[in-house]
Amino acid sequence: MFVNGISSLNAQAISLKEDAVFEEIQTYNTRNLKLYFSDFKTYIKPSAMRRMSSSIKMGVVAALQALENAKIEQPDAIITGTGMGCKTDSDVFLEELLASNEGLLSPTKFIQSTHNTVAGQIALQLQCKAYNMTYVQGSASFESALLDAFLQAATAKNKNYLVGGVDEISTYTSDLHVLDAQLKEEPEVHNLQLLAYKSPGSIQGEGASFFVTSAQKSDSCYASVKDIQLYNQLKEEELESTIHSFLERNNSTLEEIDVVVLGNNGDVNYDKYYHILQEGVFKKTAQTYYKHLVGEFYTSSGFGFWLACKTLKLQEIPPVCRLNECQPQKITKILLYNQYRGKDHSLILLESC
Amino acid sequence: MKSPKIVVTGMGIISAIGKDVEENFSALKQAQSGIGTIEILDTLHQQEFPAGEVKWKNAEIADFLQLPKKHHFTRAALLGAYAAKQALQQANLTSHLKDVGFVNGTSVGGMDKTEQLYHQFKDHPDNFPFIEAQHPGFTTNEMANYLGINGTVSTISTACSSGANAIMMGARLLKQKRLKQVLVGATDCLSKFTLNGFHSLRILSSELCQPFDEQRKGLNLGEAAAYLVLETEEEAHKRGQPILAYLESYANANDAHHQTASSATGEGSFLAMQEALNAAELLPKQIDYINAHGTATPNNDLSEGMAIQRLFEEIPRVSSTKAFTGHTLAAAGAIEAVYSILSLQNQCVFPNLNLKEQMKDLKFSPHTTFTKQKVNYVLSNSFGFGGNCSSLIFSKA
Amino acid sequence: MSDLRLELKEKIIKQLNLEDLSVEDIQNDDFLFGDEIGLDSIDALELIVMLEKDFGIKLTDPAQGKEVFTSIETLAQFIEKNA
Repeated sequence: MFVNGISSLNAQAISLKEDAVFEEIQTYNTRNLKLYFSDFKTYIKPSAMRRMSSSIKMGVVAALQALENAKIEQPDAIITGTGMGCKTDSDVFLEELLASNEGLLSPTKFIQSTHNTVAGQIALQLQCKAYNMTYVQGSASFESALLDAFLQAATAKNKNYLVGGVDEISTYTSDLHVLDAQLKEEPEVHNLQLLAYKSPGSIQGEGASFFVTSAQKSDSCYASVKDIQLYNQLKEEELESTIHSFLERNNSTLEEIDVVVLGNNGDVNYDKYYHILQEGVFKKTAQTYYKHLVGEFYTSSGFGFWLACKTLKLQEIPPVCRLNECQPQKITKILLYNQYRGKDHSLILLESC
Repeated sequence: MKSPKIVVTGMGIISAIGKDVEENFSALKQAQSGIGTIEILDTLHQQEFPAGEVKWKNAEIADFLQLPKKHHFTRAALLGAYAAKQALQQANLTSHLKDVGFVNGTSVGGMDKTEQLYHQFKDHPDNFPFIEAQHPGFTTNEMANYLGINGTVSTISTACSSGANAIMMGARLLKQKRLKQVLVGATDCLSKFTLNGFHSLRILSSELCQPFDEQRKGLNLGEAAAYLVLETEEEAHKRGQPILAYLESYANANDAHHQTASSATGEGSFLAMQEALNAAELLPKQIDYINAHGTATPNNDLSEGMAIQRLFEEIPRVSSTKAFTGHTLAAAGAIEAVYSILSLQNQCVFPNLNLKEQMKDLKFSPHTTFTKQKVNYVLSNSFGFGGNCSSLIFSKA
Repeated sequence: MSDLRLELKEKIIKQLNLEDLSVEDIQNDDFLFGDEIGLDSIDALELIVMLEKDFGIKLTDPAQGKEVFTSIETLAQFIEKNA
């Protein structure tokens, strides 16, 4: 399956130019890395926007950008992943419900709380009656959506799949995520030094990453998706052998991997999974990370996927993403590995096209 | 290359009309509804809105599942694990689940725990593990861990078509040989969040729901979980595992009309049914029974009815089983898949309860009695918010 | 313009997020639903909530809403009669 169009909106100033990645690296000194993009009006009519929460706006714009990038007007499927959907509206509805003790409630917020709202709204905006799916498997939500498209592309030659991941920050529940150590206790975190804190938790972000994929390679092709696999649970000691067998089933070897894209998020309790690879099988491979740029969220790995697509196309690793000094001669194969709090692991193998 | 045939080798269910497949069948046969006054969900609306509640407290289900005292199961996970265990047992999959995957559907997820604990987390560190229950994958993960499935695990949330869509994704994983067997289905529990949410949309009926009735006033909510074990025909034969039914085909389409309401012509449901028929290379007249979505809201039943009329020149027997179970949201597609298979196994169709007056806008009326008849193909519909429309076709083993 | 009508316009703009409209854009007799202002069924539900919360009027029959919510004028008259 080929990736023919890409788009990503998040806390960074993403360049829309083909030969650039970022406009200027945005630095933050907080736990909340909010969306940088604000130009929704260029893409969405005000009348359509009035009931759109931030996930919907981000999702619709990223979807439109990805379609434009692939020069496609109508996709043959819309497949999204989201950890929590329109979380702010869900939280507001719940708080109003509790505060009023099941009193009179506004229906709009409830409607938005349905997880497939973004995919449904993209269909409405595009008037697209095709297959419409939404996956909500924590940090494997985007990967689940990609897997769905991958399975469909195996039997359909000319279909275009619009695949994306989207999540938003809800300030209502941020405090809860400090309690269970998903978020760092330090209120001020320098995002570019994320890995230096050595404390529990991460920083949170938001964004949408959308892609147009197809069994058919187009002129705008970024990458070829060779395989994708979900692992709900994985013990630390199983990680390397799991990667071995994943590569083996794809007739690849560890040595052939030119770049590995890792999901390090600075959580001292769980980054050890990445450290095993950094110090183990991929010690001599170019290692990159990205969550310091956009924050951790259930579909932040969609940005990692976007970055891998860009890296293959430009044959260049953005310096701000490097975890080590290794410099590949040529970038042909990229392996992506992600997990969140030891759950919902995933591997994706990409090749240049 | 011919695509392998997908078969069902296990099923499990818990709903307001029974705690296993047999109990559900017996209630359907005897036209015994499970909808009544809410007793377990702690809500102000207990007396106001009847619902299809599973009359089993969380602690009781946890006991049956032999969970440790300090477990982190949401109610949806409890119901789900209970039903999933039945399905795996029937399919003879109780250990060595390395090549078994799990695609779950849920819309409520862990909302029951979130709404109970939202303002109390701070002072109760014991409950911190439930903070992650805000995302639906948490409920799936608790189940997967309990059942011993730890590879390909995912969750679908497309509102009230989630269960049907989980079955679809499972079949796709098998066809591409990613797994040997896959557990598919859905679970949803009653919660204040959904009860008040549907109330805010003014589509809850304070009386027993009346699918496809001219005077229908809205839906009754319900809670349930149901799961199927799917595998290829070849694999089932290899294991000597009895086949309960075939999953003939499936399709999903979008109405692209409105965030919550269905179009008057039922465009999305028409497309889903048509595509499912095409994929199975079946003519409409080959369908013997339609298990309709039939929520009993004015909008759904009209839209679905119109779509059925558009597609079927001769309309087969149609019934909605929502008046038995209530609308169990994500679980609807899964429990109705079980009912569709029961229809095939027992060569019968199920009654549409509470029908008094045919809808003026439709030229057909649903079937109202339990009737023995020849059933080779069953079409099951599930539609959700966001214009999400899914149809599954099952055939006789 | 009476205060109630102005108040209703402000409330509707705020609660239904009609950000691109100002009170001057809504005439008392404009059709709220359909082409002129373009509200839909979800807005109708929001208006029912507004009536009950802000004016203490309970609209029990949703079909009644259709008439009441025709325009700012019909809504204002309904409130004046029932408040």
